[in-house]
Amino acid sequence: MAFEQGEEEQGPPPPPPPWADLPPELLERTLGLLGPRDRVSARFVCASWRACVRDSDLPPIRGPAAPPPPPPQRRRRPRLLQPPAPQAAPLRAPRGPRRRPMLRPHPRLARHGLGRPPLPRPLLQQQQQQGWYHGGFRDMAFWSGGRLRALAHDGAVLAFRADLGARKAVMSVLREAAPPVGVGARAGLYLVEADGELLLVRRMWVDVDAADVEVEVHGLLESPGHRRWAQLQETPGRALFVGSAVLPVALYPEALLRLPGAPGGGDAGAARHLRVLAAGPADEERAHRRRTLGGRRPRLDHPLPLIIIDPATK
Amino acid sequence: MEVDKGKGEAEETRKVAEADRDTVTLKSSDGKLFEVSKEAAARLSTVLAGMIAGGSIDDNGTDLKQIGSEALENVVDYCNKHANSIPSAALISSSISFNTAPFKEPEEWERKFVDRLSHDALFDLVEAANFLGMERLLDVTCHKISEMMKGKSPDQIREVFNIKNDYTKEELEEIRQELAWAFYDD
Repeated sequence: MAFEQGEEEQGPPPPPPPWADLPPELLERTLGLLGPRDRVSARFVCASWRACVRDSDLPPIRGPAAPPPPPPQRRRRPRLLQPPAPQAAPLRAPRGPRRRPMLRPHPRLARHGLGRPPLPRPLLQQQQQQGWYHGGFRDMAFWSGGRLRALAHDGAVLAFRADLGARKAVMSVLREAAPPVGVGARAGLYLVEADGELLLVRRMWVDVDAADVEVEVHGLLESPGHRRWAQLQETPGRALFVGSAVLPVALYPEALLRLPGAPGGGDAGAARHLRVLAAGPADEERAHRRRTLGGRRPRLDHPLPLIIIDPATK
Repeated sequence: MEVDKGKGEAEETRKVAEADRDTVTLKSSDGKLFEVSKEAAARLSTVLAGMIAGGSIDDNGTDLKQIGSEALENVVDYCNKHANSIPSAALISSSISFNTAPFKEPEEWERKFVDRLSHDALFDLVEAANFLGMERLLDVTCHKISEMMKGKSPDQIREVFNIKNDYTKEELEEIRQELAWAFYDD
């Protein structure tokens, strides 16, 4: 090259640092410090930034405009398994082969792989966008124009339009994805409005057939100019609605979630994971529990409370 | 390029046998030597801590081939400043994990430390911090980078970071839809 742009020159700077090639873990870390809007902006900057935050351990499952499979970018986490396109297995009437052994995935895995059986759709007016990837980013939500806007941590827009003005329990599916959590395990992420507060609920079906659900509840901590999710240990005196619009949800006695009128949960603060059982008819459920869970659970000694989610949110 | 040691430290060093020196010498990719307190190095960098514990520290300069002298100078500078200004290890924060980011805002001196860096130096420093497993320095540098993005449009971010817009038409359309979805009503 005969040009004057020697590397030592002072005037025109040497080749600028390749910010576009910032290692994904550093980009992730950086974007994690930004609010949702800025994160969206950052995704627009260039394809490699976007690919980085989009890159995922998950293939898309469905959805109208599912993006193409992510390019094989460099990725910080080893891939655990690359599941084939998942066949959705109904929770209640499993058609699927019953070959799944009862495997309990490591809790950490549950945080990354998310999937969910096609329960009856929440009747909330909701729209789902192509947020079918999980990129290892945290999820969050924010309000704009009087509406709830939800964003994945990677800036992917997932679900919207719960009207929090209506003080009824509302829920929207924040993320549904394929089940790489472990054999037979799926998970879903929901935004739940409870008493005017927004909660993020992560449900994991440990065994799809068993309707045995593990739940984590996160509340939105607000400080000036900043919001973040923090896990809640209990939601005292308050019913929490998880499940689809028509799925009744019952709590185990040891659950830390409390239902009005139902015996409150045992050892407060002990469990990190709240246990919730998606209950069918009581008998069936008990039989099922015996069958699948053995003696590992305390017996339910109060009648299963039934919660029906009221979908009427305008 | 040497780094001056504390006064008492220097005397101490003389008394103690060579092997028990309380500093470590690091060598940048271009062969420059830097000295940093062993304690600070071990506390601030998981990689250096591992090397110290594992005895793979070379008294004549531990080779850090991936790190240029400017970046290494900044790293060492940071370690020294950190050792001087914060006596406790309380500021070492773990990495950002799901939903519980124990991120601590940079201290005033840390802000100043990264503010004076050029883009090149910042980029090299964040990579060096990454390489050396320096969580706190990563927090500080990533915070700086995020500050540079805050409140900016994609165009402005591109400008700041000198990034080329390499989207295809289709991709642009796709993300434009997302943007509309996120920010505009109906």
